[in-house]
Formats: sequence, structure tokens, C-alpha cells
Amino acid sequence: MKIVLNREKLNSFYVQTIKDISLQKIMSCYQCGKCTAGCPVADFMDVVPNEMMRLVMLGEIEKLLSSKAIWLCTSCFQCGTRCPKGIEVHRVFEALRSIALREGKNYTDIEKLSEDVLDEIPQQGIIAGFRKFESLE
Amino acid sequence: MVSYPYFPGCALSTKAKALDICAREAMKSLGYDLKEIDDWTCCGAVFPLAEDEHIRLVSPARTIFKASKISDKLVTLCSACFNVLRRSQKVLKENLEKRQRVQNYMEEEAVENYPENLRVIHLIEILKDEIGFENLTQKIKKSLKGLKIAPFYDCLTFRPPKEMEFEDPENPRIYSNFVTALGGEAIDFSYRSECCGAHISVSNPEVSLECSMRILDSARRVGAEALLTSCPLCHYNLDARQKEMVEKRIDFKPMPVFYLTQLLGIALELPENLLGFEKNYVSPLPLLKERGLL
Ligand code: SF4
Ligand code: SF4
Ligand code: SF4
Ligand code: SF4
Repeated sequence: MKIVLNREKLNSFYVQTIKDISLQKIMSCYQCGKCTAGCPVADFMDVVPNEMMRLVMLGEIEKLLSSKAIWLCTSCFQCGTRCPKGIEVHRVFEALRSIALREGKNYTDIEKLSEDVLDEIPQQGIIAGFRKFESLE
Repeated sequence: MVSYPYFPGCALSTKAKALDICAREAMKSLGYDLKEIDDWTCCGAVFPLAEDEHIRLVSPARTIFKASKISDKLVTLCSACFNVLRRSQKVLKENLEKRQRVQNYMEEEAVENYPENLRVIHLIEILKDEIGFENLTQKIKKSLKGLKIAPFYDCLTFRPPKEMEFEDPENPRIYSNFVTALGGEAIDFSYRSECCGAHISVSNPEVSLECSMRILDSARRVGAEALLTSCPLCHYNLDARQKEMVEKRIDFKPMPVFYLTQLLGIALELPENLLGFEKNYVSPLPLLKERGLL
């Protein structure tokens, strides 16, 4: 993957927003990979947690906003619990999801959910699942 | 009888009734009256992780205000409610700027002093810290002797440890000690604190199915006969979805998943109709009958 570095990208509105709403020191990540090692869904992600941290550092935010990984994250807080640098990686994931949702990029398509699932799954699951859907009306 | 305000939450009032009913009955027989707080609303189900989302703290704050009128403790049982309410109380207690913003959204409660002293506790904390597991062993009527239970340590009760201030999520013991107190054999297994896939069952059910299958496989490999959880969503993923696991893999053997209060109810000899086993997809009845526990 070819990455071009430039000042605008490193200080973009996106990067600033991620820092503001996650409150994490992105630059202190030293790429040990511990977040990824503990992530229960890393096997299924197109961008794993430590790669995500690296791409945020490099200002490659568009790649992340269109990734599947930010939506696969279950918010289990394992990454943040284990990070030796004390970075709450789960908050960086949430910041990316929030940016996408605030731009109207929904992930959950409510109309496609099956009746069976809605009947059985406890409310907390439905509400958490629906937070990947932002009605802009 | 000690009386505490109790927040059952939506799941426990509907789809996870089994968890709720045995909790109330079992605690009653141990001398605790769980008094459901009036007019409660959903806690929000998800703690707001984005720093600028203040509105999602309003609902937990209301619940905290309500409980504080009755006691200095609020009892919860659903892992998600516990997570949201405990973390909200911590942030509202410590972050005065945030507290002010949240109170600005509120009406009658906002004029009062914030109830800093209220502690949000999990029902297991009453068993462990107030009654004490050793005393619990004295109080039970039937030992779960010989039952090999693998306690599942769900994410939301234990993580993030700095906010939950509960138990070390890397080496949790509380449910194992609980099982031992009831006379059962607690089985530690390597996936005991891995996420079951949680709410991605809504958007990516095949992924959470894998996560949950790994957990059950890992418990079975070390000899567990059943799992224990206190989270309704874990219960859905680990129990109800065994239906799909059986279809997916011919060698998959179903395993019952108990709510922690169901095990407590068995040990306290609550009547069978209060144990809610009809809500378990994999029925625990054959196992319990074989062991002479029912
Ligand atoms: S665990 Fe922390 S330091 Fe290590 S790669 Fe992940 S975010 Fe970076
Ligand atoms: S919070 Fe998300 S990214 Fe972090 S370990 Fe859990 S699933 Fe993975
Ligand atoms: S977390 Fe769930 S069960 Fe708890 S109150 Fe909220 S939606 Fe309801
Ligand atoms: S294992 Fe899953 S459902 Fe259970 S508490 Fe964790 S996130 Fe929730």
C-alpha cells in the first residue's frame, strides 16, 4: 500500500475530530500489536486494531471510514484493557464510527433484519446494534 | 429483611425474565428485598464512548437520582445495565463539567445536589461482600455437588477495569468462587473472558456465531457440563444460538447455559416454576435430573 504523507492529512479535520472525541494519545502507540492479539473479531476484520491505530497516525482516515472493521468491533474493551501504553483503542474505534454515522453513512439496515432475530435477541443487543444506524431525518 | 432499590432493566423485564424472577425470590429467601424502582427507563444499553455525547448520560443519571432517594446502593443484574450505570456514576461523580452539562438537560432532579455517594452494585456483590460466600455455603439447602460449571466472565461486568473497579479481568475469580460456594465444581477455561460477539449478532450474525462457538468448545474441552453467565445478551448468543451451531457442525454437542440466579435458585430449592428453565433453549433439565438436583 502506497501512503503519501503530508501536513494537511496529518492535521486534517478528521484526525482532529478523532483526537477530540476519543481523548486518546494516538501518537503514543508503538505498534506492539497487543490490541489485535486480544481482539475477538480480528480474524474477520479487514483492518485490524493496531493497523487502525497506525492509519490514524498517518492521517489515512478515509480508508478506515470505508472499512468493515469499525463495524465489526463489538466494544468488548479488550484492546484498551491490554494496551501497554494505556490507549483506549475501543474509543478510537468509536470515534471512527461516530464520524461515519454523523456523515450519514449507516451500517445497519433496519429493514433487512429478520423478525426471528428481533423476536429473540435481548433489547440491549438491538439497541447496541441500532447504534450503527443514524436517522438523519 | 434488608431492602435495596433494584433496577431490572428492559431485558430482565421481558426476554430474560428467568434471570429476574429467580433473583428476586432467591434474594428474598436470603433476607434481601429487591425493590424495583418506580418509573424507571432504559439505562441506554450502551455507555457513550464518544466524549461529546452527553445526552446518553441523562437516562442513567435519572435512575441514579431515583435510587438515591431510597438508599445509598442501587442493585443491578444485567451486565449491560451494570456497565452503563456504574461507569455513568463514576464519570458524573468525578467530572464536574460533564455533570453540569447533563444536569442542564434534566428538569426537577437538576436542582438537587448530585448523589455522589450512591454506589451501583451487581447482585453478585451482595452475595460476595454482604452475605459472604462462606456464609452462603451454610445457607444453601442443596449442594450442586458434582456439577461441572464453567463460569463465563462477560466483558461488560469486568471491563474496562479502571471504570468498572470490579475485579481483575485478566484473572477473574468471582463466579468460580460462587460456584464453589454452591458446592459445584468450577471449571476454568481459556476462553472464559472472550467476548461472545455481543450485539454484532444484529449486523454480522455469522461472526458472533463463531465467537460463541469458540467459547463453548473451549469449555467443553476441559470437561464442563454447563456454562454460567449473568448477561442476557451472552445468554442469547451462547444458548439460543446453539440451534444454529448444531445445524452448522454435526459434531457439535449442545450444552446448557445457566443464569447465575438459576444456579442460586436450585441451591436454595426454589420451586421449579420460578427457575425459568422453559426460557433456556438447551434444557438443563436432563442434566439436573441425572444428578438428582431436581
Ligand atoms: S496495544 Fe496499544 S501500543 Fe500496542 S499496537 Fe495496540 S494501541 Fe498500539
Ligand atoms: S473493543 Fe473492538 S477492537 Fe477492541 S478488542 Fe474488542 S472488538 Fe476488538
Ligand atoms: S441495558 Fe438493556 S436491559 Fe439494561 S436497561 Fe438497558 S436495554 Fe435494558
Ligand atoms: S460477552 Fe458479549 S454480550 Fe456478553 S457482556 Fe460481552 S459484549 Fe456483552
